[in-house]
Amino acid sequence: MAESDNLPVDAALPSKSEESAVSPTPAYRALAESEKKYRTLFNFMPIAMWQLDARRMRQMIMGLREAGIEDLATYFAEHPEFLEEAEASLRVTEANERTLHLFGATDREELLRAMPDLWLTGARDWVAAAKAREGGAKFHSAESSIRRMDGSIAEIMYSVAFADPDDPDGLHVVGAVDISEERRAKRSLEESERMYRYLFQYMPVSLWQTDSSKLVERFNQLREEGVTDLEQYLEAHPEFLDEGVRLLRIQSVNERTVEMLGGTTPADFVSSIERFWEINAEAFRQNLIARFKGKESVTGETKLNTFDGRVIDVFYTAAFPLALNERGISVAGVLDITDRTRAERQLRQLEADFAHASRVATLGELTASIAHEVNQPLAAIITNGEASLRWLSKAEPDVEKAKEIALDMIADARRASDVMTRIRSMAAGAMPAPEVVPVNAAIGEAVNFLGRELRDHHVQVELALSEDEPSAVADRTQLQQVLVNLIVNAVHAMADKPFKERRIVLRTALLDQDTVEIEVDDRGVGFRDAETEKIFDSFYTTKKNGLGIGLSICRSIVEAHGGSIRAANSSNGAKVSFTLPAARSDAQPVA
Amino acid sequence: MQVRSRIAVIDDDASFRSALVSLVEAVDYVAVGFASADEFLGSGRPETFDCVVTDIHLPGRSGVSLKFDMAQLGHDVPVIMVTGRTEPHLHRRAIASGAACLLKKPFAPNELVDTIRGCLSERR
Repeated sequence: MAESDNLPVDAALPSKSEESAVSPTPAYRALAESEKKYRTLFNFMPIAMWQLDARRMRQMIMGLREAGIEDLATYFAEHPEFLEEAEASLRVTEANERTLHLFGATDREELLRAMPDLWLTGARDWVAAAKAREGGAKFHSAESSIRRMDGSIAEIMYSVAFADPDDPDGLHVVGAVDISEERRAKRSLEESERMYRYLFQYMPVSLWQTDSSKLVERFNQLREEGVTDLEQYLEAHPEFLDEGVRLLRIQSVNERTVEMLGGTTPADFVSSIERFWEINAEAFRQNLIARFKGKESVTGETKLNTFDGRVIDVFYTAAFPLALNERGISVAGVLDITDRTRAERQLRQLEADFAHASRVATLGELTASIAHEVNQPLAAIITNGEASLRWLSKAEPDVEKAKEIALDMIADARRASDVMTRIRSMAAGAMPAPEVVPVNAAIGEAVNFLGRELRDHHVQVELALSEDEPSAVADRTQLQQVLVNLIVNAVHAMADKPFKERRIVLRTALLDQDTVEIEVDDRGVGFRDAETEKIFDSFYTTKKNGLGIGLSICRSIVEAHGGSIRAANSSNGAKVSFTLPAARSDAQPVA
Repeated sequence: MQVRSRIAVIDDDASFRSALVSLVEAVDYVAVGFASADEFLGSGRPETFDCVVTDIHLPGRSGVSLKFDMAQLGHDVPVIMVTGRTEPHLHRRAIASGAACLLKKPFAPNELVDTIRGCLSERR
């Protein structure tokens, strides 16, 4: 009979007491009553309980001891027939409802017979129990596995209360609970931890686990001091950046990280992240701000120092979800994008080269334009020269005709020389030499000058010229320069439009007695909304290859003449217009 | 007296056109200037000319198109082309279209006169 107060069934009584009763005495009745209470308790305890008769096994083991056998485990292993006999001697004499449930049994008698066979950790448990008992323990607890009646395996935790050595009945009481669920949960936790470690180690992406507890602590301290906006705080205390970078310590990194940064083992990395991150303070600043704001992750690009002295470009995602952050852990994934960055740099170089080539080509086109402009009058002069010679060499020389031709030649020569002068003064940026310029004619000349450019770009030009035939007081060459610039801009603005929509309208108007207005109206892409104010600034350009000089020169010229220039979007393109002082109508145009 | 040959001169540059007309007239041909191929075809009498001297680059129809269009209309009048440009493919295109010759500006006027003479004598 079990006596320990620690045991679940300290009221255990011999079960077959009825048989030993000869006469119903009061003592017996009291016993019977007590027995009844015990039975009720035994049956309805919320744990599985059974009574085990192990007297025969005990005798067999004591026989071994007497024969001087110390190591039971080895003996059992070497003498399976002994173990078989000992186990066959075990008898389960009682089992409660909960036991039936534990073993998945319906028939109590059947279960009682089968139970010794359903115990799967026999030899181990018998050895441990024997030792415990021999050491004077009143009970023994351990974990074990059982086979249930349906063949499934259950993990249990059991406690056996040893029978009193003096008790002739010698029945053990065993209590057991099913711990399969706990075991499964523990196993799956272990499995997921193992999986995490495995993934962390062998993912083909560089992974870093950092200890952020010091940083979190420091953040909390700052919050207590009343800091709510870290960005602001960093502006006042830029030194905190250095402090922050030292507070983050690397706990572990995976194989790929070691390889990427040219280290030898992950242990090389256990330090603050300072040595890797020092290059890009801005990226780290963003990282700190995101953490402080309680964001769960931050991504960005930065450069990292490697062990072998290289600097690599990386893309990183650092995650500090609340659950991890509270444990002072954050993880980061890092991708080496050095190759991509290099490719981008090469692409930019290539673009720059193309832009340069395109400028050279434009210059080439300009040269071709000039050559054409000069060639045309030269060809006329040569032809006229030959013609006049022929008219004069006739049997009857036609002097009148020759004179006429000679005048044409002078006009052509002047035309060629004008082109040259224009080019020279454009290149030299000559001081304005104001004269009276008929504006409509100046526009005709500009269109003529750009004829080739306009044709090549399939641009139609519509002239909406004032019938007032206004004249402006202006430097002819500089006026040409403004017109050419504005028209070329308009042509380029329409480069993406279908041919038939490429159209420029050139308008002139005498606004009042003193002001002439010239307007270039295109069907191009227009200006972006906010742009119209600054398009006249130097080096402002929307063109890929633009220098951003053209419009600023236009403004300088117009303003030097006392006029003004402005730009606006129209319903289907853009308009740039400028004013010049008008010449008095009685002044003589200088052609 | 021999009937004088009629030469059409097509060029959009007024002063060069006028110089060509003066030159051709000095050799005792009848010269008529046109500012474009369309103006020439629209004159209603393209078949009355014995030779055409045309710039390749003209507003509207080009000199090369003109040659093709004339062939379509059944006029096999010799066409001499001139150009101020230097691209090599122009020469191939001009010859492929059936032009008698391509002269590059500025050319020697005598060369044009000789070419016109050659064209006219071949026609006879």
